[in-house]
Order: sequence, then structure tokens, then C-alpha cells
Amino acid sequence: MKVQTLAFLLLIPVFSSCFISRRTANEPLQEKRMETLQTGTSTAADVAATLGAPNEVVQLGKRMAWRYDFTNAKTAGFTILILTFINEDARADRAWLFFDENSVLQYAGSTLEAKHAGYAMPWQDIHD
Amino acid sequence: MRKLLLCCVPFLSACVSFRYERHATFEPLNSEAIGELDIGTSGIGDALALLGAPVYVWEGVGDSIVLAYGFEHSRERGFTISIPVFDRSSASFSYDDVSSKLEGIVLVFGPDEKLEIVRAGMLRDLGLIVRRRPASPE
Repeated sequence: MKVQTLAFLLLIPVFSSCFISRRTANEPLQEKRMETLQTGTSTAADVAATLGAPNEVVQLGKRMAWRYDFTNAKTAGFTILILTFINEDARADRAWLFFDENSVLQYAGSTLEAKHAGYAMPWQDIHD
Repeated sequence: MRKLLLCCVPFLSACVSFRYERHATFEPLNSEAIGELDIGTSGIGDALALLGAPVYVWEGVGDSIVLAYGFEHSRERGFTISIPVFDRSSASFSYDDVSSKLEGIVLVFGPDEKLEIVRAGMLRDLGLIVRRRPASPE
């Protein structure tokens, strides 16, 4: 009887396991800081002083564009014997700032979705 | 009992598994907002206001500017048979890594910054995801 009980206890962690994980990349974008930047007047130096160094700089002829982003990915799943279910939801805060040839901010566009990332099972639609 | 244990070995060590996975990367595009863009009249500012920040921006041919918007919503299922020999993972997230899986639209703006071309589909199939070297200084 003791052997059977011990065997059963040893098998429990093998039969099922569930997990969640979260991974992020870069720092969250500060919406209030971005709102202080004005197209037509703010310069690249102003943007760097307000938001820090961009994650990517793209040269566009004599102009340039800077990308800032923060990614939030949440993964949930479980395994039963040979069955594994995994759901990954990755959302991002992202901003692109376009500068003219004088390094003055010309256009700015942002998408703030990182906080919407969620844990779910593969059959759940958490964003609908 | 011994035979039963032997039969279970490949399953317990995860050599054989059935996986059902769903991956969602970024928000799906707003088709109504895309419909509001007009070729010849809409500018970069209009696209940014309607669709938000693109995933990629790069310099196109002839002083054009290309914006690409994309997302991934996929479901995968299937059996896998594997023998883990070495595994390593990274906590980083790379925009280069996800580019091959994203579907969406590519907007090309001409030198006058007006919308010239709209293409929809898998971004990798559009053949426009090319990491261009910056133009040389004049």
C-alpha cells in the first residue's frame, strides 16, 4: 500500500502542469510625456530629452523617423500527459516620430496597446 | 506493471506530444479606418491619425516613404515527436523576428508625402520588408 501511495504521489506532477509567463521588451511609453511634444516646433533634441534614446532610427533621405516601443507578451498554458495547450498574447506600445530635414518634428503617431495583453486559453477570445 | 511503465516512458519524457497553440501579436487593423485613406490625397499624418503607429517604416524607391502595419492571429495544432538535446530561450522581443508572420497593409507615400500605393497581405509576401541602408550623406 505504501509503495502504491508513493508511486501515485510521484506521478502527480507528471500528469498535469500549468504555467504562465510574461516577457517584456523595453520601457513602457509615457503618454503624458509624448503629449508635451508638438509637431512643427519640437526638435529631435527635445524628443530625445523627453523620451530618451529611440529603439530604432530610420533615415528617410534627408529626413528621419524614430521608433519607440514597449512590448508586453503574456503566455498561458497547461500540459496533461501528451496534450499541451498554449496561448500567447503579445501587444505593444509603439510610437513613430517623423522629423523633417531640419530635425523638427513633422508627424507623430502612437499606438498604446501593451496593457491589453492578457492570459487566456487558446480557445478563449479575450479581445472580442 | 513493468511493461506498462515502459510503454509510458516516451510520453512521460515528453518525446511525443500533441500541441494546440494560439498566438496573437498586435491588434488587428481597423478596416474602416483603412477605407478612409484615399490615394492621391491622404498624407502620412492622416495614416498615423487613422491607424496609429506602424510596425515598420523605411525609405522606398525615389524618395518615397513606406509604412507597414501588421498583426498575427494564428492557431496551430499537431503532433510533435522530439528529443530535446539542447534548448535556449531569450526574453527579448525583436521586430525582425515577427516580420515573417505578420499580415497587414503596406502604404507607400510619394515624394510629396501623398499616398500612392496600398497593398494588403502577408508582409513577407509583399516583398517590401527590406532593411535598407541609410542614404549616404551629401
